[in-house]
Amino acid sequence: MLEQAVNEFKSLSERAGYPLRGSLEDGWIFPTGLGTARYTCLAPETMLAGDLRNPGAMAVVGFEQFLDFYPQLVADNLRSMGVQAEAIMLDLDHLNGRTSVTPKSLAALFEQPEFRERVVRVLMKILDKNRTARIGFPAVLGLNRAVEVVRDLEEMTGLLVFEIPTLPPSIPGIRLHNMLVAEIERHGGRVLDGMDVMSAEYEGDMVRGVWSEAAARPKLNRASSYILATGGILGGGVQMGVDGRMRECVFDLPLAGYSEEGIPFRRSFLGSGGHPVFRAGVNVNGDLQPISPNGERFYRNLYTVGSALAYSDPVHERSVEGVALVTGFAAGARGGVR
Amino acid sequence: MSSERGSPKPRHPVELSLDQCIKCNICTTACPVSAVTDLFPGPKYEAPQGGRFRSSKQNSPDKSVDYCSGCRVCNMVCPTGVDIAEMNARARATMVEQNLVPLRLRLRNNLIARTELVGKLGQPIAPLANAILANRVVRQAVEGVLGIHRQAPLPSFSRQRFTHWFRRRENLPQSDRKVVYFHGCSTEYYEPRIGQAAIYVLEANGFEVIVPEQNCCGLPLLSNGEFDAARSYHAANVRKLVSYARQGIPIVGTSTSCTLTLKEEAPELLDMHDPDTRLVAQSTYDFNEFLLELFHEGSLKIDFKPLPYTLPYHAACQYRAHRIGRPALDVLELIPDLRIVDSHATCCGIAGTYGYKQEKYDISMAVGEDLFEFVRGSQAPFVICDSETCRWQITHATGLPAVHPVELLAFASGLEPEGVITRYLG
Repeated sequence: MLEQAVNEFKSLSERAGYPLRGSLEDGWIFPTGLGTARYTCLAPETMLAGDLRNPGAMAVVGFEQFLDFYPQLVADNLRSMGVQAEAIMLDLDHLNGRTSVTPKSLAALFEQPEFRERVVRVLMKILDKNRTARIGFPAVLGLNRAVEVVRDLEEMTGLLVFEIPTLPPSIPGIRLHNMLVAEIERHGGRVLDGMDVMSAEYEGDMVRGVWSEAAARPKLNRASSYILATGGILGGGVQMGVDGRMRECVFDLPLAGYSEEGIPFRRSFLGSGGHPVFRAGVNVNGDLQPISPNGERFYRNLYTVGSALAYSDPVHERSVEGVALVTGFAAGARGGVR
Repeated sequence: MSSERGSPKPRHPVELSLDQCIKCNICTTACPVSAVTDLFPGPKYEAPQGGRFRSSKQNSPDKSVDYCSGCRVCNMVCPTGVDIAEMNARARATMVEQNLVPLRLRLRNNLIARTELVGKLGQPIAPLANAILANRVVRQAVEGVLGIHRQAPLPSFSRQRFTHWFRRRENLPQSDRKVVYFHGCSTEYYEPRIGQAAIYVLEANGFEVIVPEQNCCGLPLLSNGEFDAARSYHAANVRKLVSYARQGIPIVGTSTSCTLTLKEEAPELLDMHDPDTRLVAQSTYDFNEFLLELFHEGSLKIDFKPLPYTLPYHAACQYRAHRIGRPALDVLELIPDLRIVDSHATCCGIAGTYGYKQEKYDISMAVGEDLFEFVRGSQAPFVICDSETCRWQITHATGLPAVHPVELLAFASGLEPEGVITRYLG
């Protein structure tokens, strides 16, 4: 199932023109926006040249006017790990006069050939081509045509180009979101924003609808199957009341996983063993259907995925996207797709 | 925190939601206005951050809040439920209250925000008024004097008011199934064909349609910070509608911004939480929201004639702000052979009265560019949209006529509505 989920996801990204590369056996090590190393199984093609296992010296490029990316910090931290990295800060007249330069506004600019030419012109005046094998930009190289933008920059500079994730909002995250929404719609689904699910309607062992918050009165949303993907305590799927009782917010399912003593907190937030509260979630059977402490399934058409599941600590394990991908795929295969 | 199933979620006071902002910048990323102009630095800066510096006894710290179009996209994407657009609307109202809006602009805002008054003055002399407003020299003069942009899409007054048409009808159907129709100013003074289509569809479904006395919903005034005037309008509507709500008669509207105002915008922004206001809000439905309810109950007549066409559709910001999904798409999908393509565009830019203003017209057109490109590329004879000002803006920018979903439903049910649908599909 793991391999099938990863391969299907890769095919999906390929079809969408934003291919993700990698495999369960052979992943990647990339620089983060802080210059630390991050291991990952899959990564977009636009980031691949940044793999820290490759020896090529890198130039980390930032923009004076873009305040949420610090190339010096990235390069300093990478050098402390033995990676050859130099920081370059570009001052683009084109960006002066703008009150705020955001990842999205930069991504839109990078989709314009004239802007890319301008960036390369300024960059190549500073860059020592003999001492550089690859150029790392903040991950703002286009929203809809990122692969094309990276290739064009590579052609113009004659060097490898890659993206380094930024502080939120993440442009690669938005690309991924758009890709997934398009795929859902291709299958006849509809994605609706801003509708917080509050509770559910039942008939025997079937969920018949979920109520979402709306103007003036709640709205009942009906479907044949339901996938609980509301996340854990960070995503809002799990909350703690003033009575100290933790609960799953939509179906009021019993929670499991957070600690044997039922104590969800401990003093050391970033302790090496992770934090028990992140392990709080819904216990499921082999079909990802929520079950009671006795192992009885609650509803025939309800599945749970991602961080809403008990027993995994996505913060400690760095497993958020992986668990989401595989369990989402499994739930879809079982009942989420008509 | 535990909410009873199906009961309204208790809402927090608008200003208190300020502290829920986690500075993730998602609103700024999604904001269609700050994406095209530096005059508006973005929802996060204006609402939760600027909000901390706003006090009832001090001047507003930043006048750029007036460049918020009020599209509510920020609210829709906020992961922590901050009432960003409402905070901006209240900040604008504070500027108005503190006389920080120049007198000329305030006069202009009061003129374009009083749609009912403009309709009452212009409609009786429709041919003359339309000729005057179509005159380039006049429009230039109006721009110079009042600040209404010369190219902004002013609608044409209709020759007949909707309610005049409605009251002259004979042999009206009587039924135990009653519904109140809220037509709004656009149907009354500019597009009576939409009200006629709505009446046709409701009556075809066995309803006796009541069109009670009603007035402007007050949204244009709310959007321009004129809260006192908006309160009078809303209170008057509540008085006129509450007796029907008490009888359990649903109030249905084809103007999606009017229905949103009755449901939420006015009560929330004006802090009107009395039982009558709440009852009217809870009894109000967007037209397709109502039809979809009927469909789920199994009582919607769905013997539509097939329409083998592919047509573009835009879900207006005010429509999405109802948070009811896309009932227009759900209902239109019941018409055999009809294929609707959603624009997925964030906003058309007009945002009620925003795009009419001289200083905001260019921003408004830039905001709508993605939508206009989609519509131009559709090769369709017309586009579908639930909001009147959005329809006028789309037609202005693309040259393509725009219709309300109910017109298409009426056509598929056998009516030959006046206008583009019959012309192209009839």
